[in-house]
Amino acid sequence: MTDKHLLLIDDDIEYTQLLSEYLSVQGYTLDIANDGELGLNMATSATHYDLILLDVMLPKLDGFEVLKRLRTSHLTPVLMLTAKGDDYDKILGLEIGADDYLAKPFNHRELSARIKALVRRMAMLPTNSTQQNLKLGDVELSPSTQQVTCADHPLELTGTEFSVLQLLMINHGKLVTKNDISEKVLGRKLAAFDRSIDMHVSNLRKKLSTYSQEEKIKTLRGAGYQYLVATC
Amino acid sequence: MLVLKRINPAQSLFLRVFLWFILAIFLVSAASIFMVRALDSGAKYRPVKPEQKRELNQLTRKFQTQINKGRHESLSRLAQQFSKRSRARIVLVDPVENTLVSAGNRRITPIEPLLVEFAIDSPVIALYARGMRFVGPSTVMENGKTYLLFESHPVPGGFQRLIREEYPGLFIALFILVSAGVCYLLVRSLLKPITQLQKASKAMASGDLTARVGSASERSDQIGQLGRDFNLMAEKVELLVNGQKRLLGDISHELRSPLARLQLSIGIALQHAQNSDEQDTSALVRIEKEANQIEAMIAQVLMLSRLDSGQAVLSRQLITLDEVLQPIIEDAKFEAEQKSKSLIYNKQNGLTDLRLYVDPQLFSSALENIIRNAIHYCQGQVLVEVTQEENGLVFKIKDDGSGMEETQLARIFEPFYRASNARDRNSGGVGLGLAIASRAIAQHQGKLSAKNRKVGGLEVNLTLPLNLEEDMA
Repeated sequence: MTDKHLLLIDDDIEYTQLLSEYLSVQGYTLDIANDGELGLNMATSATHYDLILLDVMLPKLDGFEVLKRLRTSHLTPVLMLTAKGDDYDKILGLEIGADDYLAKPFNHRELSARIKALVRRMAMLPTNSTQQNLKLGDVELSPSTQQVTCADHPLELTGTEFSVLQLLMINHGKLVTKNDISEKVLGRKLAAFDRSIDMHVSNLRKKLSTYSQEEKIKTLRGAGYQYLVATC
Repeated sequence: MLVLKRINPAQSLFLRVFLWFILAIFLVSAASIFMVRALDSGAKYRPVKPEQKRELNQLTRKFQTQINKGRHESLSRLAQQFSKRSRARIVLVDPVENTLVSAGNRRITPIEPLLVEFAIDSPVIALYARGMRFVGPSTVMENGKTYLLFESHPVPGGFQRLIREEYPGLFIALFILVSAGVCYLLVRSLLKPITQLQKASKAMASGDLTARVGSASERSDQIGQLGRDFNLMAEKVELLVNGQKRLLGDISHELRSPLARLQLSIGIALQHAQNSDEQDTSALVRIEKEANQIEAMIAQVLMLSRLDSGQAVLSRQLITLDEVLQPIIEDAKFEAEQKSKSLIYNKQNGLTDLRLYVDPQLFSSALENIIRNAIHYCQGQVLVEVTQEENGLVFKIKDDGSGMEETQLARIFEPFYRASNARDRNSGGVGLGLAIASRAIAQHQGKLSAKNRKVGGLEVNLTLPLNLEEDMA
């Protein structure tokens, strides 16, 4: 069906087998790594993965460390599998650069919905090549190459960050609500007081501010975000 | 108020012990003074020194000379005048009548019985009494009559005696003051460890399991022993209670893995069922529903255990009251309508833009729990009121249900507590909602309490202090 290649990094062998069986029916090819080191090696190998499912608690190298090292070179979408009840974990995960998170144990429908949203979004990106490149001030975004430059410096953005930025730039000067971002980028409705969008925007701001002093994304408290158009 | 309470002897051990001590000291002192007075006139006889004797003889000669001049009205008057001119006072005794010649002197009169004891042939001696020294007797003659003469000096350094004798009121006051001070120190040293013990027990009773007796447990006496035993007991209790809480958390933690596998297996089974055109998946759907229920329970137990162990990290932010409350009220109204009940929301004017410094997720889920609980147990109507009061923002959630037994009221915030013993599963919860809510509110320095309404039904009050922001900043 979809023929997407996923990498699952989780130390629960039985669980990974079940997950593999479950997802293969939906048409995904699943590779499994049962510890963090192996997972990182596989993720950074020549094999292309469309999505990485990354558990937090891992032997040898924990999930955050894997993500941190992965992000130094790869922007593969990552769905963190956090332990239920550890809110701190998901915030940390998003901060390091996870695209989304899901608390274990989860409903299987929830899982396939999240995977679908992330994979589809990534799949959609190349088809965006017909779209024009966006250029606002010193920030340039190219949907075809998935490249963003700020003051001629290329930025390393995760898939989610890229999509958030794209959405904000397309609607520059206008208010984009958090719910819009969540639905269009993460493929799910924004839960009450969910901070993941804020985390992604905050990561974006951090990366943009490395090369540009001026404030680009304005927070409209309680409502959403707005990409500011340069006044000069 | 506190001071009044502290000195009320009926309530304060301190004052009672203090009063008993001071009473005892006072009685003992009074008794010993009385006995000393009764047994001892207070007079001391000492051998006379040669220079004292010389001085007496000189004085006697001078006085005799004055008498011999014969210009005096009376002997006592002459003695008075003479005393004023010389350094020493002269006291004359009539050995025949056994009386003082110069009577009426307030300071001399009490010693009269001692002085009249002397006879003409008594040896010269020094008599110390009442802060004075009497040297005598020597004799003077007037008109052929012999009088005994004593020379009297105030004894130097008799200040304290002077006070005692001249101002007995002041002396008693001084005495009480000093002994009260000593008593105070004594009682304090006795009761301080007891107060420490009492504070520790109280803290422990109110849920602070880390409460310990401090310095009092280092004493080597019985109170110290009691303090050490208390600490030992507190340690055991803390260990037990925490162990139990941790166990609950750990079990839930461990349950997550099999549950995750179970949920996936259900998913796989459902996929198979769909692929093989199996018509009846109702059993699987049912299993899935139960698995989701377990998942929700585990999430709640874990939340509770984290709040209990203080591991929960509050991510507080400034948020307006409306931002927190509006979505909850809307959801609750919808839920109430589904159950053919209604929810009325009243907000005091001017609170719309009031900013709260809370963890929005934790706080709103606490509030939501309380409101949903009220919707569940009400007959037809739930009233939510928000007012700003002196001690903070007060949320009142009133339902018109059957209320609770007074004895059960405090228990509704305990984990796994349910009003009815029949575990009615359709309510969805496991009896953890209010327990989580009360702990979440406590983490916000707020308070949650419940009482029965006069008109019937339950009223839950949530008080959230408003100066939180300043505290944290």
